[in-house]
Amino acid sequence: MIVRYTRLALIVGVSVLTLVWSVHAQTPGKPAGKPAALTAADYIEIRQLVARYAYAVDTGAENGNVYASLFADDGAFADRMGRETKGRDALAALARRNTRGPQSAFHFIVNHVIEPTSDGAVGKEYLVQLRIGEGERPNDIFGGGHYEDIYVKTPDGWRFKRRQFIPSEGGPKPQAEVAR
Amino acid sequence: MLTPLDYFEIEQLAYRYGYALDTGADNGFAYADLYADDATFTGTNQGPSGRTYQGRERLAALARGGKRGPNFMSHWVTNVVIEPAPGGAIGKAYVGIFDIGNGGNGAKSRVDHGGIYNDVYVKTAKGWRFKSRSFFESTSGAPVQPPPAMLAAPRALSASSGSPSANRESRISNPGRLTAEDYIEIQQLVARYPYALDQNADQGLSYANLFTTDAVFRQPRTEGRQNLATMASRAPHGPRYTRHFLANHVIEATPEGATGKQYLVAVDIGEMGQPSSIYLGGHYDDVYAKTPEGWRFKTRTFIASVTGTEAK
Repeated sequence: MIVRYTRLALIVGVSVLTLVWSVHAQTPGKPAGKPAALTAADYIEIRQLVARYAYAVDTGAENGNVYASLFADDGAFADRMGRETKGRDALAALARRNTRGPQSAFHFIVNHVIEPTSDGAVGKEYLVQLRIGEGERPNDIFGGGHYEDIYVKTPDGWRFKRRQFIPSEGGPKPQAEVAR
Repeated sequence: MLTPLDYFEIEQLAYRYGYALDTGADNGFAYADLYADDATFTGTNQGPSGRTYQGRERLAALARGGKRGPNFMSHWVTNVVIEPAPGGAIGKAYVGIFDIGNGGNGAKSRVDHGGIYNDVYVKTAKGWRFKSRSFFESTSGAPVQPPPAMLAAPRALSASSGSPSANRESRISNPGRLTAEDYIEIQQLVARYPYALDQNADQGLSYANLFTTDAVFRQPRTEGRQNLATMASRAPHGPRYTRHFLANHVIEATPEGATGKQYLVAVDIGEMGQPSSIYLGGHYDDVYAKTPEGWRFKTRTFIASVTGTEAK
């Protein structure tokens, strides 16, 4: 993908890209073809989408509707068991259930990898959940894992088509830990 | 209107904040100089109605006032959201404030506290700076102060902001600076590192290929892709394993390429409801080289966090 970005910078004009995007946007479910390139603006919008997820899910703002608005109309969140919550009403209800307070910070998302696909983009991130300011409990790390995302470009901008959380599971214990 | 470079440069400001505060470099003035003239920092958690610091001297004194040291890692910043606003931009960031014991030498490490920064950014002759930054401590209960307003879902950037010609212009007007494409490639290089190490699906091959053929990793000093692949394969890994959490990725152009640094918190995530613990904390110091394959690590050095002195 790094090579692709270089090519993008060298040879591809944005008007051509816009055309490619609109073609792909109108043909959902088409067989996987050659991945389209992402512009710098696409890349930034997808990063902004992922960063906003944390605020939306932690605060449950606007009755969960800010969270729901980050997904495509038919977008879905899949929990650690793979159970899907699909559609904006159900997603808003999920955010209302999961909020930790209007001034809470719990989902810390890092290591965001983004790759173009034939009809949009996919990505993944690490999540670590920090429990801060929850009553008398000492602040601590609740858990973590990683997300696997599918993004789609809608007329309103990039949105989640699907996001799944996968909890961390340990690898085989090594004889000597050397790499960091 | 913000260009792609504006987004990257504002992100860089948010990431530099951690290093400036945790090191207290230049007697605190490295921190103070992240702010515009007459800019303010407000700790809404300080006292019943919060406390505001204004001006270069007071901000520098603030940076001298906390725990600090040349290799101390504490303010771990992520989830940076940015939005154009009249006069510049506004944004938010999450901060986890860690107390990392002496580099994993048996000392206890913990989450000290953390929360949300609410920012106003302004573009000065020297680049993007904070016009104001306010810290809101995370709480599960009712906020003491009105919480920062939410930012809505990101809007589509204008098509012209992604055009290569815009980037060419910025390259011409800013010689020796990184383009948006350089930021993207180097961010992606670093973002791939934890997956290659923790999940390591291919005997360390993907890990080794993040480095130039003559790269050096420390510690332990490891040279060459074969040795790097072997080192990665000896580390704990698995298809769903997550351990290396990287934040505060600062990138700087150099005449030869670029350098960078990140904060690392390595977490042993508790499984099945078991408690999690911090395995290690510190920072990476990197040199990147642009190769025909794209940007790669030329050197990558891990430096464990060492708690510094606490000012009186």
